[in-house]
Amino acid sequence: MAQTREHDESARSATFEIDGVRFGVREAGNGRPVVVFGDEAQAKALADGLATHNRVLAMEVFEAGALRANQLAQIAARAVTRIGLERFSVIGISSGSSLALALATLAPNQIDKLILLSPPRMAEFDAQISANLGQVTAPTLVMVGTRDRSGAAETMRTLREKLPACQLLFVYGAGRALITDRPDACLSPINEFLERGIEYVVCHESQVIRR
Amino acid sequence: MNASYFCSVPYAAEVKNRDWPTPPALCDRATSAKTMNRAIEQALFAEELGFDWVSVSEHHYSPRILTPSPMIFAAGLTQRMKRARIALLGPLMPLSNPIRVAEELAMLDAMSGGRIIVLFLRGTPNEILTYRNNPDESREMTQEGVELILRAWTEPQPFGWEGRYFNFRTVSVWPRTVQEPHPKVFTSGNGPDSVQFAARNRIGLALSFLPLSAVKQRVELYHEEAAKEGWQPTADDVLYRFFAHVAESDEQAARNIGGAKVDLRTLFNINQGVVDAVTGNRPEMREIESPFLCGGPATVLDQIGELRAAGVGNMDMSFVWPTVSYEQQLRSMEVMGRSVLPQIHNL
Repeated sequence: MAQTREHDESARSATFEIDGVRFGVREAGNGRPVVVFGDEAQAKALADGLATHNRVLAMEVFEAGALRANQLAQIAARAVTRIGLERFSVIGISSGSSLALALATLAPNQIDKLILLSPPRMAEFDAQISANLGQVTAPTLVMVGTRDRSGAAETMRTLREKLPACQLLFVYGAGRALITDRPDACLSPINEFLERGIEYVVCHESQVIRR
Repeated sequence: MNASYFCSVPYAAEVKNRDWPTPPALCDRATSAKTMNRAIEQALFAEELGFDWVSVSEHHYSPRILTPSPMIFAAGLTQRMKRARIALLGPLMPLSNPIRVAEELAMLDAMSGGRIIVLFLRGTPNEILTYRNNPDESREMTQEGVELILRAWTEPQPFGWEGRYFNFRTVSVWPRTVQEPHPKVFTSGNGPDSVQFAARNRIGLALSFLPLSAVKQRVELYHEEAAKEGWQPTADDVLYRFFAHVAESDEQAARNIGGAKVDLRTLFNINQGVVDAVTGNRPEMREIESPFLCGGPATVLDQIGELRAAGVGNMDMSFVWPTVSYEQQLRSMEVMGRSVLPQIHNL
């Protein structure tokens, strides 16, 4: 098995290869580890917003060839181990939701929280992932924009039925590019969910107007 | 054409003070009860006369219209009216928790056996002062509230909402509405932005107190915008609210309305600086020289025909007019019911 690793500590980025699959990792911030898969521009905006309280590792996958999402997830699980993460949260953006969800079914004990943004239609998920949804144990948050007409809302409803602890959140006025369409409206609940999981439904913000 | 009787629930005694807010000291407690009972009888009379809907509105702090909660009045009507639909025209979104509104309307739909219709509004300019909302944000708040309510009525799974003005982490409305997917919904289309909003969300368009030329223009715009969204509205999707006075003859109607006018900009005495700060550009806030429908039955039928030709399929009528007594209002309703309504349903 050929493995290479090239470090660039100043930019906190690295690339390496496992079983012919090349990974790029950009890292920002400190705190709870959060692995992000999916759309580069969205991932960058997300990392910028989450890095205050989290160690965000935005992973890009290159040269995956004809691997199915489930096979790729097995390699990705090893890639995450190689980075040194034992337990972490994972965020999947758009098509990256497939890999994030696969990882949550393959390594449930390692996943702290699972967050999916604008997931694709269920038919686009690997059949094995769909069959294994019951194995996910992580508290899950699925977010979809109210102007997203791609079928993401239907996926969200299915996941709510099939996952053990799944919260749905509509982002008003946003399309598929949730993070860039309404950054604050996304970062706030994501940060809260990463910190508190399902208990993010409880409001602890003071409702006093003036003391 | 559907005919709606606007049950405005005016205070059942004269109050000369036109300040807004009107001091509660001027409200006689026994007259409060008399007002509600009289209005319910009037609604039942409208149903008996053949009106298709009875409508109620939301207004605050004045004797003109005593339904600060249209839901409560509508709940009373659901238990007395057996046929006509009950139209809430309508709850004021900036003043409300939209989820609470969705829940209460769903209850009303269940209590009425699926006879509820609703128009979501942002309120006349003075209403925005009621709970101290920002008038500059009232349109956006209303539009977000409408989208949230539609979602609350149709989503099969509990969900959260990260809005600009509303934020919920758990929404899961019970009971569901009897009507599927939900009661007929209208939004105000008096402004062009609002017409686009109605078309984009495939909901009904409601116009009020505009001249007929403006009604035609808005309806045309609605059709154009709906076509862009891939659908075609019908006359059933358009509602128009106006003043009406019908008498036995044109001459009698003209005598009854007596040359009086209604200026919607000066219905209340409010500090002018406050009015300027809250009014903005509201095309319906204008002087109205005579009721939109006015005359004997034949004339009124012609006027309704013009309205139908403009694309309106639902007319909501207020029979209140400054020179028209309560007894004349009842008589006007009666002439409308007996001589006009039987002839308009196939229009």
